[in-house]
Amino acid sequence: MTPRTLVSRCCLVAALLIPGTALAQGARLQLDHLNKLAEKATETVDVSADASMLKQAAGFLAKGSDTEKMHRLLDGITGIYVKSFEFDAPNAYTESDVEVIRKQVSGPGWSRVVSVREKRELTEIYFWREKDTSGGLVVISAEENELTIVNIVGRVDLASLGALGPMIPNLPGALNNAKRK
Amino acid sequence: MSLEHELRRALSRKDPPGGFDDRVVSKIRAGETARMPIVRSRWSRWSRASLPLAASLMLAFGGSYYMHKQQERAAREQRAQTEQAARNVVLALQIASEKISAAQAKVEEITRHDPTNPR
Repeated sequence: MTPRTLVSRCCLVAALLIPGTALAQGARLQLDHLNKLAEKATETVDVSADASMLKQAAGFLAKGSDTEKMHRLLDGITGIYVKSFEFDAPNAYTESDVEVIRKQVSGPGWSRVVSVREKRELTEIYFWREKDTSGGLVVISAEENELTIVNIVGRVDLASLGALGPMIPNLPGALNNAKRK
Repeated sequence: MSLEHELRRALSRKDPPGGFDDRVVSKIRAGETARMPIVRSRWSRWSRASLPLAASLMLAFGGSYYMHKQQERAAREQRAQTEQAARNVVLALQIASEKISAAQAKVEEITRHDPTNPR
């Protein structure tokens, strides 16, 4: 194989792979820029649950009580990414921290379904659609002393997720020990 | 008195038979030594065979015990990982649900106070 053939074959493979990876990213947001806020925060939650972790968790939850609805909800989800920061004082995060996320959800495929702005608070929910089905969602909740970003990748039912609260099993230490610091 | 006489006669000095000295000296020069029969007990034979056997058994049992413990540890670690994953997922769902419910409540509140709302 000549070097020229090798280069052209590599280009062909790359051309075939790049759109695939771009599509695979889809509803998944880049939230790493928020990591710096953990230093200022009094309480931080950083959850990155990919498909394999969700599968593991679903297996574990199967042993719990009536979690059928949760299972149905988890069934279509391929990733849950949450970053939540609580601060002692206001202005711990900047507008640009939020804008970086809003910019990501302003592209094609995304649609805003809820946007509430009150004084210094902002709550927004965005949906990512693949063809005609939901492929993920983003919740931005920016309060004076708190910033929370929820990014769910996969098929999500907003109503089920909103009504999930009372159904969520109280796993020991789920709220206190998991990743809250 | 006769007893004393008998004793004296029995214990009286006697010369060895002729050539005794020469025979002893010649045997020493020839390097002959007294041979003692070697007696090997059954126990010693068994002990020789059983020592490596015991060592092998100990090694085998020790190895399998170690493997079993390693498997137990791996299973424990796997379970802890699964529990942690479940906790994280539940926590993430709790937060998501909480925030979505809050957003829904805010939307409902705004709609209720909206004068253009026909309700």
